[in-house]
Amino acid sequence: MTEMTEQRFKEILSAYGAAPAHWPEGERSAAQEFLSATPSAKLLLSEEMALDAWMSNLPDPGISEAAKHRILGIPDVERTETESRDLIKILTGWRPIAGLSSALACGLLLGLFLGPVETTADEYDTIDNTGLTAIGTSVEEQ
Amino acid sequence: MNDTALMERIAEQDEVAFRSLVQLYFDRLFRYAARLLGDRIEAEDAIQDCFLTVWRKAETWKPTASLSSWLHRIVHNHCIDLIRKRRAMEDSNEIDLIDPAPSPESRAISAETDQLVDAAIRKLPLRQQAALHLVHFGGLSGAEAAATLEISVEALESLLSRARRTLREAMARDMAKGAA
Repeated sequence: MTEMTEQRFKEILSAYGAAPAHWPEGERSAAQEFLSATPSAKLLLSEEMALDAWMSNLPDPGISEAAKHRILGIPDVERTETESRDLIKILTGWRPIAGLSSALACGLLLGLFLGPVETTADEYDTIDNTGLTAIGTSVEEQ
Repeated sequence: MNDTALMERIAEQDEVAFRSLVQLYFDRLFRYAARLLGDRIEAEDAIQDCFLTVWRKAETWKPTASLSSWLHRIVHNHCIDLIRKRRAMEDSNEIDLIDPAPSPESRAISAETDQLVDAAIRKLPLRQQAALHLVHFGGLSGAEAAATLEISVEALESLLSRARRTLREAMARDMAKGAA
């Protein structure tokens, strides 16, 4: 058991007060033994008891059940947020494919709406000739 | 279940383990924050922040530190940040910080009981208040409180002694007033 001196006993009282439950665990037994064997220690204890009693008038702030309820729900909130983030990631990942599909669908619809473009044989000739002229030759030359 | 097993399960996102931890520690952490801040709404924020940290970063807790000290330290640091911000705002408004008037919330807390003790404790330096709330009202051991405040046990005892000495003087004034 740790040896208890009057000096250390005073230090314990002045820091932790009169309640042995607050005293350092490793020194508690020695302090209690010192107390029972030393009359002057009892006087010191009674002074600290008065202060402890006065301090016990500090109002208890109570607890907040609403806050406790919210905190108990943290895993649910975090899970929902994670799932939302995952969903956004999935949607974001599909966006390029979705964009391409939309463009293709629009093109198809536009094509169907405008219908087939009718061209005459002359027009084909003109087109061909224009193209070939551009590279310095013509159908007749071939 | 011991602290280590509990925290290991929370690190694996075990919701039952998390809820057990909240049931075990919520009341004392809330009381500590509410007393230190003198404001229940701010205390709720501090506690929520603490448990959110636990849920997200349970794996950062090491069994070398007591779980109680670790949780109190998270709450304590959050409270200190809030108090510093509050004081900075009060500074900018040129309010005297040496003897601050209790906030409306702290007045509400003290309304039905002896406001003298509350006022006397609020006048103490913040570290002395924290030490007192942790040991006398929170029931933490000296070692746990010292770990929470990240100081030695000797330094904690010095803070407690100075706090109690100041309070003894306030009590003597109170008694003298009562006797008059």
